[in-house]
Formats: sequence, structure tokens, C-alpha cells
Amino acid sequence: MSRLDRRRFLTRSALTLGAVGTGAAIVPGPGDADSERPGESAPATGALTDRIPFDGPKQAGILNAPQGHAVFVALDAVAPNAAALGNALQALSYRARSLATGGRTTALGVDEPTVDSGTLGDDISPDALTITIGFGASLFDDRYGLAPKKPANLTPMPRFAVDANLDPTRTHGDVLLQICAGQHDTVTHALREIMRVVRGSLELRWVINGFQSAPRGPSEKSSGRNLFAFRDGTANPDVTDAGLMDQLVWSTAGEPSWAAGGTYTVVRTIRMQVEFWDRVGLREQENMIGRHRATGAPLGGTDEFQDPRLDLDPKGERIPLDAHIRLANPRSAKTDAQRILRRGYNYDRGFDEAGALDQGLVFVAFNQDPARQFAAIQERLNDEPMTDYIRPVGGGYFFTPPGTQNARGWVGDGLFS
Amino acid sequence: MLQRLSRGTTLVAVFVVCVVVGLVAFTALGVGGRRSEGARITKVPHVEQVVYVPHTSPGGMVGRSESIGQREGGVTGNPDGAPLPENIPFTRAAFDAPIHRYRDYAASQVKKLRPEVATLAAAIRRGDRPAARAAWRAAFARYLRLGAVYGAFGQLDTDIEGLPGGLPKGEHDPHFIGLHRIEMGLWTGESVRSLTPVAARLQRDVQRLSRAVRVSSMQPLDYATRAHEILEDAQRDYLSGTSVTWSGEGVLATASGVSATALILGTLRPLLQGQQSQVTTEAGITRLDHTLAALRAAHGGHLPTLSELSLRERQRLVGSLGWALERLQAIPGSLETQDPATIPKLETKTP
Ligand code: HEM
Repeated sequence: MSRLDRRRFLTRSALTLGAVGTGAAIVPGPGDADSERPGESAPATGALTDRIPFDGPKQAGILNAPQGHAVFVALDAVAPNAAALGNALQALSYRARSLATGGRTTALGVDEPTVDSGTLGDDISPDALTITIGFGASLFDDRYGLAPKKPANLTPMPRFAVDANLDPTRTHGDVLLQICAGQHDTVTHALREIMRVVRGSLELRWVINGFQSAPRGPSEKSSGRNLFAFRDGTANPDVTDAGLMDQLVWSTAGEPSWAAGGTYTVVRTIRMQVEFWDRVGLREQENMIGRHRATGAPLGGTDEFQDPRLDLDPKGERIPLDAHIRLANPRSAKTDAQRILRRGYNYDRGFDEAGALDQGLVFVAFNQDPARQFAAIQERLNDEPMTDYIRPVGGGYFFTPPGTQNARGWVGDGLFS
Repeated sequence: MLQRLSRGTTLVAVFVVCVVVGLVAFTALGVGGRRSEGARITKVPHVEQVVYVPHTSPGGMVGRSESIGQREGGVTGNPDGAPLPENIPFTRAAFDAPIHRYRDYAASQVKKLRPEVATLAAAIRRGDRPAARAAWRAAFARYLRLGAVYGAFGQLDTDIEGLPGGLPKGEHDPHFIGLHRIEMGLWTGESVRSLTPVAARLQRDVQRLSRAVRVSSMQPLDYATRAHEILEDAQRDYLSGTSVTWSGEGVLATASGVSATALILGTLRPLLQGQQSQVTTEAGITRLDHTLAALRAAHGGHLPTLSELSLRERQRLVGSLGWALERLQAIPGSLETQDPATIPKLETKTP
């Protein structure tokens, strides 16, 4: 999504912003960001005061443009019973809301551990923090009696032909948290605070940090680059088109009532052999993607947002038939319903045993039905030339319920009512 | 690897990284275009000592691909000296003899592999774990020396060297067979004799290899590409430990990749002769050979497993490999059989 889209989105959010819930530990202070005049298109400044409300018909962190930093956290439920699990999920949402709201932390007696770790100081800026909560298929097994509530399209992530190297310790999970914010310290702080309230009920399974490339132009609309140096996010469906989002992102048909209007989150941790990639000719790289590296334009074109016009090139003379963008989205009537909303992050986790840089993409997609959409695309990508340079190592499928209506609501409450 | 034809971009697209002594001011134009609006776009005011300048073509050599490290170690050893020319494009026929030679080599390797696999099967039938492990190492190392051709074997390659990762039941899948299935058995507590059927199947598959090698066909470009990809794969799959989880024989596997690569380069010598990439890639392989020889000497005459490597040894090996890879990348570009096609224009406008 482009910056402009995000700006438009935030403007709308600001207008619809009702009562902002206050969390247990934080009270919003005067002069905080969303006391701004409604209708002013200011919030997408990347300022620490940016606030994205936790409550709303949909969870935050899906349609809004990706903030600069993220951490994806998969947790497994270890709560002794369903009531304890419910309590933890409730606490999770309450804490998430207070963190997204920001404000001054409440002081306690000096002989007590403080309620907030203090790593952001006593006056916490919201920094556009979003905490998006999802549930994996395994949560609906027989442990907590949740099987009857299972969302219609939720399955464990299947094993695709490219998945020979999936690491079980980096795959699946009962609960997924997608924590995004403008700065990395905000993200790290949020995770730390959240863990305090869920310990004993939800334990860590895997964690991966992600970052966006800084906006480097040439225009404000230009997409940032992924670690293969190609602009990423160009051809996403328009998030401001509510009708389109209903067709592609939000799931209603066949869903149990608590789940109607949620979405399915697909996370794929994909290692990229970035150094190998750098040793490949530019033209070959461009042919693998189907776009020019410098501009992001479809091959033969000059503008990032130009239509690639695959229909004019049926033999692949301009954009090879096995180019990533062509296989991912053939732009045909038959495949239109397969489109997904991508919201990925780059990752950098050091280096591997062979001394090679361990970098890649936390691929994130939101879709209505992963089997119809994500999996159909992935099946087409199984043999793409880029597979030599990438290797999925983890991830999972998660159902991301609709948002909370007000400060008493919590994500997952419908599971226990 | 279908789009290799485009390797070695046109002169316009080629940029040389050039180290300029002294401070160079970077114009706004140099950093992603001129933008006055858009306050959020980062502008870089100065850049230290590195500036990227368009490559001007000395003598107008078509399709020359140049990259970091390609100049140094050249004939003159002078980093500012002109690099040696490239001889491209070649005719496709020029690759007939090299590919033929490689196929002969591969056939001779398969001939040696057969008795090695027989030895392995016999040790397994006897239930002799140490002997079986030694025989496994020999067979595994031999198979990986086929480097340039195993891509052409398809399912047979999977039967011989497939990994459990892609299979529905993973390690427990009945279709997990071949060298790595035996590796798992020999390096875990599994009974050695129980591997007898797997070893018998491996023997049959290796018999089929001889024919597969004879009929394998390789395109010039694929062949040239293998010269750098074998070691890219070695780094990704073996030195990283991912494909040798049980035995840890990643160094051994890498050494096989080095042999295969050296052989390919040898067959291509008549084509590469006098080209810059010949000089630099041979230097890369020589350094790797020395590093591996030193490791062997330090570990009582055999190559250490990944976990036996000290930090310093690992860094030396990884360093030699990375150094070689940075040089091998030039090979496909310096062996092109045609200039990259121009991309047809896309005339449509932004919506
Ligand atoms: C590391 C792995 C990947 C890389 C480096 C990558 C890179 C890219 C790039 C550079 C683009 C073009 C710019 C854009 O439209 O955003 C793109 C487009 C796209 N990718 Fe990926 N991608 C990866 C994995 C995936 C996966 C796993 C999927 C889904 C299964 C996927 C689906 C798509 C789709 C749907 C598009 C838009 C195509 C269009 O509408 O033109 N990508 N990707």
C-alpha cells in the first residue's frame, strides 16, 4: 500500500474513532495525538504521537500501511483450563489496547516492581502501535473444548512442495501476535509488557522481527524494497475499496457468528539467499520477478504502477511466463478471486552455519480463504525460477477475528461466550 | 534457472564500483532522483569514499560483466589496470567438446561409485557401523562429484540423494530412501542391518545412473551456470548443515563440489583462455583447494565434520568459499552464446 493510501486510511480512522479505551496501566495524557482535528490528513508522519486505535469493527494492523517495525510472535496455550485461557486472552487485549493508546504509566509504591517495565520512559507514546491477534487451528483441538467454534476456513498450514526445510520450531502455533509500530523499541516494549500478562497461559513458540525499508522515493507513493532489492507491495489490492476487501479479505460466509468479518493471516518466514542473489545478473533477476529493479515498473515499462498488460504479451516476450508476478497474479478473470493483501516485512537474523547472511522476508498475507487464495498462488509459485534463491523455513495459518467494539471487548471473547 | 540467457547485462546497465580516494560530495540526483517535495524522503548529504559511476566501455566490448573483485588478482595484479577482455559471444558448438568431456568424467565417477555402494551395502548387511559409515562417506562424496549433471537425473537424483523434508511423513516416510536415509540410520541409534533393503535399492538406482549419465543432455548456458551454482548449493545446503543433519559431513560435501567445479572450469578452459574470469576463478578454486588441504592435514588426513571445525577453521573455509563465489559469478556472463535480447516496450500508461 502506498503512503497516500495509508494517509487516507488514517484520516478515515480518525473520523470513526470513538471512545478510546484506557488500559489498566496507562492513562492517556493531554495533548496526545488523536485529540487532533478530525479530517486533517496529518497522522502518517511517522511521529511517535501517531495513534491507531485498538478498537474498531476490524482489528488494526491489517489495512493500514505497514509501520516501520514489527515482531511476529507465535504462542502456544499452556493454560490449565479454558477459563484460564480466556482470562489470558482478555488480559492480552486489555494490555494491547493500553499500549496502543499510550499515556503516562501509573506510579506505585517504590517498594513494588513497576507495572510497566519503563523501557519507553514513564510517558508512553503510541507510535502507531498495532497489536493484531490471531488463532491457529491447533487452538481448536480438544484441549479447551473450542472445536465447535472453529472458523470455517482454518486449517493448519499445509506443506507445500517448496517446504522441504520448514523448521517445526518456527512453524504453526496456537496464537499469533503481529506487533507493529514506527520504532523498534516500541515493538520490543510491547512484547515484553504483553508477556507479563499472559505468562502461564500462553508460552512462546517462535518469534521473528521484521522491518520495512525507509521511504527512499523517488515519489511518496513508491514502494519500499525487499531484500532482493525489488520494490515490494506495488500490486496490492486497493485497501480503500471496501467492496473489494469484502471479496478478498474479510470472511463472513459460513463462519460461526463470533468469527464473521474476520480474516485469515498467512505468515511465511522465507529465507532469502541474498548473497547468491547478488551474484546473479541484473537482467536475470528482473526476469525472475517480472519487473525492473530500479523503478519497479513491469518489464518494458517505466512506471511502478503501470499495468503490466500480460494480455498483450501471451508468449512472455516481455515478461517471462514463469516470472514471479505473472505466476502470482495472472490477472485473469479466473484468478481474480485468488488475490491476497500482502503486508510483509524484511528480516535480518544474523548468519547461518555456513557464514552466509540469514536474511529474508516475513511474508504476510490477509485473505478470506487461504485454500482458495494463498495456497492457489503458492501452488503456482512452487516451480518458479526464484525458488533457487528462497527457502520457506517457518510460518503458519491463523484466523484473525474481527475487532473489539469498545474498551470492554477483547479479541476472542466470542470463543468463550 | 530458465532465464540464464540474460546474464551479463549490456554496457549501459553495468556499473562499476569504483573506489575514489578523498571525499566526494553526492548530488541529490545521485540518491534516487531529484525530489524537492516529500519531506519524509531521506536525503543523503555526503557519502564517504565510495561513488558509483557508470561504466564507460574501454574498446566497446559487448556484454562485459564486471563486478567487485574481478579486477584484482588479474594478470597484472593492478586493481586500476584494464581487465582482460571477454571473448563472447561463443557459438553453441563451442560447448560440445567441454560438455562431452564432462560427461566422460561423470561416467568414470559412476563407475567408481558402483563398487563403493556395494561396499556400503555389504557393511550394512554385516551390521558393521564403522565400516558402513566410512563407505557411506566415500559414496556420498563420490555422488556429489557429479555436480554438473545431477540436475539432469530428475527423480533418480531424488531417489539417490533426496531429503525427507518435502515428504508428507518426513523422516518416517516410506519414500524417504537413498543416501540420506542411510545416513540417518547410521548416525542415529537405528539398527544397521535394518537398512539392508534401503542399501539394496540404492545399488539398483546407482546401476541406473550409468545410463542416465550417458543420455543426459546439457545446454551450454546450464553448463556454464553450473560452474558457479555447484558451490552456491554447497554453501546453502552442505556447509550450512541443512542437508547433512546426521553425519555433519558438510566439509566433505563442499570438497566434492570444489572438485566438480574445478573439472567444469577445466573443460571450459579453451573458451575462457585469456579472459579475466579465467584468471580470477582459477585463483578462487586454488585458494579453496589449499584451505581444504590444510584442514585435512590438521585433522589427521580426513576432512573434519562441521562440528569438528574450530571457529577459525570455519571462518577460513567460509572465507575461501565466499571469495571463490564472488569470482565464479562472472562465468555465465563470460560464456554467453548470444547478447541479451532487448525488452520490448510496454506502451500503456499508468491508470
Ligand atoms: C521471498 C519471497 C518473495 C519475494 C522476494 C517476493 C517478491 C515480490 C516482488 C518483488 C513483487 C513485485 C512487486 C509487488 O507487486 O509487490 C511481488 C509481487 C507479488 N508476490 Fe511476491 N515475493 C515473494 C513471495 C511470495 C509468496 C510466497 C507469494 C504468495 C504465495 C507471493 C505473492 C505475490 C503476489 C500476489 C504479488 C503481486 C503480483 C501482481 O499482482 O502483479 N510472493 N513479489
